[in-house]
Amino acid sequence: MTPTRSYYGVSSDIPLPGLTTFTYFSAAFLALTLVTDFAYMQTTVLMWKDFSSWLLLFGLIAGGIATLLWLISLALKRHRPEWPIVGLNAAVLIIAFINSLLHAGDGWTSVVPWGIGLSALTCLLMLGSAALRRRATYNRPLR
Amino acid sequence: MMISNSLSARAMLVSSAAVLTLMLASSDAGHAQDSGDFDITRQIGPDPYLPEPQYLNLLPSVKVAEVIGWAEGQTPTVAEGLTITAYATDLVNPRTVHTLPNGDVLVVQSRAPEDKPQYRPKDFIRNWIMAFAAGGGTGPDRDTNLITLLRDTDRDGVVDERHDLLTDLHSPFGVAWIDDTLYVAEADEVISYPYVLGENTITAEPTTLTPLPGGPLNHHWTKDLALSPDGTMLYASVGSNSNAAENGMEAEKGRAAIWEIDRATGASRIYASGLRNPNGLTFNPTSGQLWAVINERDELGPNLVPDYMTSVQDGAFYGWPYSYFGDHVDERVYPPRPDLVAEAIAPDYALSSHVAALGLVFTDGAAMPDAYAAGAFVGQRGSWNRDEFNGYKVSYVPFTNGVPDGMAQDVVTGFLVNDQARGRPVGLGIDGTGALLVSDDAGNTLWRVAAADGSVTEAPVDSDRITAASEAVVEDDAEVEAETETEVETETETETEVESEADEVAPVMPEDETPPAEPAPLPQD
Repeated sequence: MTPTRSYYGVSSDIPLPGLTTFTYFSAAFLALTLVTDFAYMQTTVLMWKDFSSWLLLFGLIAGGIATLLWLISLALKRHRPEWPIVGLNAAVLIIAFINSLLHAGDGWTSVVPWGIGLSALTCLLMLGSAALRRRATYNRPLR
Repeated sequence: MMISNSLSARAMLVSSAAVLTLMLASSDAGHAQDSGDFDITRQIGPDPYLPEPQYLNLLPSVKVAEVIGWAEGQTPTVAEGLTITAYATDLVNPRTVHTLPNGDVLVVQSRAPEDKPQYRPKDFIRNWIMAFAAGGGTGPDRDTNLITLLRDTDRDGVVDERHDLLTDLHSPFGVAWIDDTLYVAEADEVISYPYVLGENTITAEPTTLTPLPGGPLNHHWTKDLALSPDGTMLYASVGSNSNAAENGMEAEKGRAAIWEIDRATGASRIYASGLRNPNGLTFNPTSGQLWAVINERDELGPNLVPDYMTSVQDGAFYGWPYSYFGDHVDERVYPPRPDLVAEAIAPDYALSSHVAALGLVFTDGAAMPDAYAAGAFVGQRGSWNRDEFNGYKVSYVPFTNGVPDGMAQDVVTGFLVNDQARGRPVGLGIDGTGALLVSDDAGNTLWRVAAADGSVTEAPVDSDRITAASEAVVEDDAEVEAETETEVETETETETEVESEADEVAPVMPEDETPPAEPAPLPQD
């Protein structure tokens, strides 16, 4: 009958519209980069490498929009930043950007070993960020 | 709980920072390869210095010269003993120049085919940079893709008549003329027109001789053309469809190669391969060998890979994309092909990195000073993919017995002033009076470089030697002997006519073919 638990502590914690969506889109694009890099490594079909380049680009675009929305909500004081998570997410975007430059190179050496290595590192950092986020959400003190 | 969170987060941040530092450090180490104080002459000659390739390029070296054009009265600078004048102005992207047996000069003007597909985010950025380097400025593009005829009737080095011979072509580049037939290499085929010397227009519809690899991508689109000394075969250059096979080897069928085309039937075969972007096809009058200048690959560092000129041997493989200068493997190309690398031969003469060599012409028989009597002029459109400019000039490479012998010397410079490009030299030719022609596709001018002592019209005529060389080659080939003899006679007659027309000055143009060639966009890069 009565809601037992709200995901958000108070209404001001509700993110700006689009922030969650763009964050997840960015994460999905960047995670798929690892998949397409792996496919290129296995097949040497350059289409997969081109896919990685586009995924990185769109991952950065989505991530950039999410960052913008996050900064706006920060300015509006809609939330208190969890700095470890912020740091990890920033690292994800920076590494993805560098990875994007790497992927702009031609052929095998733009992916193996550093390109796919950075794609994997990006995924690891995103996992770490997600884990911290989860803990922060569930350990939030009741107000 | 929060403490452990921060710790693990910090650990991840630290490790990612460490990875980044490593990458940047290794990238910096790679950059030690080059930089401003690199002596480019180490990469000129038969045995160039080749630094370690730099595969990790976060930001490839790029330095683009803004095209500002030539102000009234400005010209390039020429070496001592030479003088330079504008032979024709108001051209639209002149690429190649070709002198006909009667001294008429054809200027091929063209622009890259449009609607090139974009496969990667990088393609958009690259095109933007290339457009900047090509100039053009504001306003609508002027019509190009035409062949203009320039006629110097009194042979004084000044053009007296100008006619647009052909218009609305499909990105033409190379031309050749023999037996009242004009061959034009467009972006995807070799076509022919009936054309008698002296005519000012061509109204006939073209005939396709041989299709060549074309679009939709057609990355290196400039197809140059040369006629064999015996007049039976055409040689067409077909550049690669990528920098280093990044569009897949299936995109490279028949490309990065020079085709041999039977003029009578259109039948073709690959004459030589592994030549990334060959242009400037021309036969050496002394040795009778086919020569070309080749634009080598980018993004291995500012000092790799040197562009080069080479005699093109029948059946030879020159490495692209798997290797360069013989067995220097390009690890970007995967899977590797050690079997092909083992076959790859090194070219004859390196011209240093990213100069974008597109024009080549031999000076034998031209009316140039003794210092340039027997060698090759090389037109270098200039770099954009290097942290210091290189090229933007015409050099002279001395030859002995048909082989390069000595260091390249600057002949025409001054295209680049204060890091701004007034023009970019592309195709080369020898005009009907024996002077050097330099097409400038950014300055939209055709420059004429002549001996300063005014001896132009009195220069020795070496067309006999060129003919002799041709005959020697012909004799080697018993099968075509009869046919060739006929053609040689025809050529002789033509030359006689021209001589009588031309006061005391004999034409310097070798037979019908003086095909120079040139350049294009790119990339050339």
